[in-house]
Amino acid sequence: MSDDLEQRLRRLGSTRVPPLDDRRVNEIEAQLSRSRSNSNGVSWIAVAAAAAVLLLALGTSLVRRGNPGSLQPITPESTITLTTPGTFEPPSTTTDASSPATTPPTTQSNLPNTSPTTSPPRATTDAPTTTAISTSIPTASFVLAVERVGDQLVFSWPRQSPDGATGYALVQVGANGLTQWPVDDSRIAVLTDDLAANRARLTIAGRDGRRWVVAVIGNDNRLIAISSTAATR
Amino acid sequence: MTSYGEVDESTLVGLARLDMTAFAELYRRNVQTIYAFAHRRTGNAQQAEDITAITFERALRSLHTYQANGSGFIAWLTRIATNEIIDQARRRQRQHSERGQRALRLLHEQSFAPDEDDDHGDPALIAALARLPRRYNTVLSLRFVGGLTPSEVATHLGISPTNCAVLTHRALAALRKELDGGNMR
Repeated sequence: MSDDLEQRLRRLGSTRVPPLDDRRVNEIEAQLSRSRSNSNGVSWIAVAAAAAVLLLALGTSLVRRGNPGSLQPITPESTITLTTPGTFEPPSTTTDASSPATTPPTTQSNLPNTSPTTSPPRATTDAPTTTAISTSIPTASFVLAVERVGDQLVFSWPRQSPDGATGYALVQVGANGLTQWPVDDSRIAVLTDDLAANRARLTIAGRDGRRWVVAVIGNDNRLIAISSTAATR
Repeated sequence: MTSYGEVDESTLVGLARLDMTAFAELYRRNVQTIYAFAHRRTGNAQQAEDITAITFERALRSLHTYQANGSGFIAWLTRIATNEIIDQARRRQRQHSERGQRALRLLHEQSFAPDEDDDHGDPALIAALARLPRRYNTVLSLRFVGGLTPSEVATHLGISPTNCAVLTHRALAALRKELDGGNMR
């Protein structure tokens, strides 16, 4: 008896219906965009208030410690894994060294040129601080998302392919985001010339607050685009 | 211009919390599925359009609460759509409550009158579903009309698979009773 009813329900679920026409699809999308814009207008007040409180707390903390900077170098125990679309596996406590598109963990240094990749990273002489000319910082043009899974930070961003781009750099930045380019090597957690990469895993002991940006770079370490700033703890 | 065309769903959901372009991509990937579900479940194209719009608006507002929990984004959207379908039905019922239960049913069925030019499925079944308690309506809508797996339904209802099976059984029994009662009216 129930089987008949189940079949009747399933038939209802497979009834052919005409698709929603493109005009209405676009109308709803526009409506959603307006909705997001409106809600952003309200939430910015809360965001600004929260930012003010955080800045105050940060300032107080720095004064107490007498520490002029807020950046912490990437620790030697950091391990890095880059992932390209189609090769990503859920984060685990071990790094995936078997995937052809990933970077095996480095245990000696966080410098980009010590992380072997399938495409050789830049040579030491290409390090941003030694060759690049200081450039203005573009506004963020894509979003960097990050989530913590155990001791790992999993960064993700949409693949970028602007003209002249040759790779990405995951950069640790200060409270004001990326304010200068090039940056010191110690701030670069990941450097890759694989433009298909859209994720990076970073294993960092400790949970100090940090902020990150993905920079899209071109030849001679030219800065082409940057992501929004992602904060981790 | 950022393109999210090849970004996988879980990444896209994370990005969509901050970037409307990413949410728009999620919308485009799922809008026809949600519309089709709403249309089948209500039998009415106009109502299905409204429910589709409301579903994505709610999803946008509640994206920070989304957790995959082993089921996909579409399962979450289907749950939102189901809630809205039930809420709309309840609102219509309240509007006509003074006319008595019998009249209410007649009006309710008229107000959900399927489109003349659509292959609208099963109006009697749609009307009977609308008269079920919310939990029964939800489990049957998600499981059979929305096509979610039993484990996905259990996850979205926050119950164990065993309890979900029991709930489904009771819901089917209640639906049968509604249909039998409806036939006698």
